Amino acid sequence: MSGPIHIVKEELNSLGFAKAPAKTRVVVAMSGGVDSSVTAAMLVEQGFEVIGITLQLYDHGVAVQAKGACCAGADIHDARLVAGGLGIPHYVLDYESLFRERVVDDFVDSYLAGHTPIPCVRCNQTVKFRDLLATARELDADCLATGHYVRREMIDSTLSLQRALDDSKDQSYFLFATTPEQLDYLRFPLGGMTKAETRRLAEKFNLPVSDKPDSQDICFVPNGRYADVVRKLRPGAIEPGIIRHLDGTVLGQHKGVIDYTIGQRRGLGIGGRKTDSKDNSPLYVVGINADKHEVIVGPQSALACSDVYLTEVNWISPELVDMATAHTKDGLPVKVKLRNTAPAAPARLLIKPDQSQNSYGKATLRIALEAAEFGIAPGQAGVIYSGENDKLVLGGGWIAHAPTHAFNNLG
Amino acid sequence: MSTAGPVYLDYNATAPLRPEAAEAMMEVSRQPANPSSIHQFGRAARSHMEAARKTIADSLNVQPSALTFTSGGTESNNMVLAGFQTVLASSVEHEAVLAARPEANLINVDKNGVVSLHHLETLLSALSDQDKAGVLVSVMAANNETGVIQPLEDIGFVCRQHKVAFHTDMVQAFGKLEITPEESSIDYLTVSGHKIGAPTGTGAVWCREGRPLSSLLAGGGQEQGRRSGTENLSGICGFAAAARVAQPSTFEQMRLWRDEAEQLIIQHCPKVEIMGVTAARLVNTTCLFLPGLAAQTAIMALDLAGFAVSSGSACSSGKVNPSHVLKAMGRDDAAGQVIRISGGWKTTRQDFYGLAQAVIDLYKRKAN
Repeated sequence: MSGPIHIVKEELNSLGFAKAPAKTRVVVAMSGGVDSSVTAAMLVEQGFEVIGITLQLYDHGVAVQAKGACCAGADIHDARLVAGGLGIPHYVLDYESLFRERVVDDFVDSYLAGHTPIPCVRCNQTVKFRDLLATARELDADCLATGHYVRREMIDSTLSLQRALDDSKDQSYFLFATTPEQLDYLRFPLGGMTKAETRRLAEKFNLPVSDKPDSQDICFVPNGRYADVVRKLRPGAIEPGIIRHLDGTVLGQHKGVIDYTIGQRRGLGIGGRKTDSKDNSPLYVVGINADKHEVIVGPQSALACSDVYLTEVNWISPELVDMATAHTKDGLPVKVKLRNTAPAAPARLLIKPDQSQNSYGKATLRIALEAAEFGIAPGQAGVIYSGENDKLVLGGGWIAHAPTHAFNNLG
Repeated sequence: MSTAGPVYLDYNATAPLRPEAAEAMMEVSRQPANPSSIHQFGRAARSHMEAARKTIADSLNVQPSALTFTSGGTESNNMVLAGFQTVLASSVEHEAVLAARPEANLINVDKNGVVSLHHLETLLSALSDQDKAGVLVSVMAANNETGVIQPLEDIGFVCRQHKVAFHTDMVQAFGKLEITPEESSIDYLTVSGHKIGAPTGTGAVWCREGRPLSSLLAGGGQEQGRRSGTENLSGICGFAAAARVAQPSTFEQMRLWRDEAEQLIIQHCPKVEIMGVTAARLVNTTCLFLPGLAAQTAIMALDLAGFAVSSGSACSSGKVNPSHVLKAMGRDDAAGQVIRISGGWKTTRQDFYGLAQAVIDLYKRKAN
């Protein structure tokens, strides 16, 4: 009779570590919202050693301009409540000055330059995935988990970022700047779930935030009034100027270019064209010249743009980009998303080998759109998707330049 | 986590309830107890309360009749400060003083956080005799962040010479430092119960005969009209029971344990600095400057390793505010890299030793 055969299997736990969940320390970035609360609760249920961290990013009392309001908003309170209920250690880190330096200042400067920034990307890129991630490492955590709706998958032993299973919740647009090193340490347990499933779990776990609405605004901009924030932080930097039509006619005055975004139609502060009875078509912001404090308006057709230039390009999985581009001659066919709410549009990536660097560098990338797009705003992100059903997030960059046909006509 | 369970070394924030206090509270809580009631229950309550007043007054070396019960250190300080036109406060006072009178004139401190008598003298000399009638000097007995002790006798002498009132917030020093208001010419003393192992929500203010003290609350005029609101009898009895056993002499051996821990840390991590080390300090407190290590990370890491310490004053959100104490000491360089370790009645030598080892481990691994 032979003895029992022991098969030693190296089983990975749900976060991908070959050890018991109880021996796996994971930091969960807890915002106080439903998603990150469920993330923490799921991992606690699976038996992981979970540490909750909430970032104090700005003075809530100052942001809402309520006298006597605590520096910490209701979200921090909620995160503590959830962590307390789960019985996990929870800490609030004061990142106010880091956030101001890395996110808010950039946001304000970008608006003053006539761009339309996305502070959430900067926040993920710096405060969350650089500073918080470093703190998690210092606490000897094995990984950092967030409640983002994206997936982290292996493709032929290469780590990749993929869109969420739930298309309506996909947050990959905000995560294009994730570096391979960061991705290696990150986990997104909600990526394969729908929001409805998350809410059901929140109820199942009896989380005090289960019926909390999703956040809509930029967290430090109450009621979406971003121009107020810019005015408060840079008084004096905002100068009035003129609103000029493409044909040269001055149509009116404005109080500052920060009130305008490329593609904007409503609230321009001017009527239609009164002087020209033949042309009564609606006017759009087609250009912003921050140096001259000029807002340029014109017909929608003038917004058409076929080429987009991206800067600070980041490749999430450089190996996959190299493989894909190795056999293409006149540009790699991809899909590109030029604002969060727009669908990904077919385009060709015109990439030179020396520009495929994955570092947080100055690589500039040209994207040729198959069909012209309207209202592409510099400062937004261009995020590049590929693969089956465009699930794979290759990376992206900041829109530095999106020359419109009008611009080209102007020479 | 250490095998013996988490080690609590944050007594300057609060202390666990002493068994003597718990017992005294339970005893009086079984009966209805409003000391203002005329019936026998009320009379019994009053006699418990007056006995407690006597016990606490004795531990403060003052007369019981001049001792008023309050809800804690913050209320006591606010009461005293509200009675004066002009306040001179040291720049290292607790927020319960500085925020109560944000316009107060600040008295400078030296690099250890000790009040400059010269600066106090200068500030007082600039006042006319007429103005001095409404002046209060407020200097704490010992600092909550560093444990540094102030020269109360010298400060009291200067105040007496200038005929101004002198208040000492002795929330941290209570039960750890012998203070005699007569010798130090102190006019007001404020204390809190929970720092010595009494329940939270208890405190007292002592006021020299003839000095003003009035209630912040309008109401039934309890405590001889000085503090309206039904007295917290069970808390007061717990407070007295804790005060009876919280004797400075019981803390003497802690000096040795604290000093051992400090020496061990310095020996292994020579870059670490002990704040206020050359000044007289409370024996239970050590304030460590860990260059290159963020205090908020250090506190989390120590917590996860089973040691509860703090980094000075935290806001209710848990966010750590920059320390005004270090700033006043001219130590902006240490901002955000300082942790406070403070022992109390349950602390053992092993607690301090274990903490020292944990700090050394952490600092060697993480400081860059």
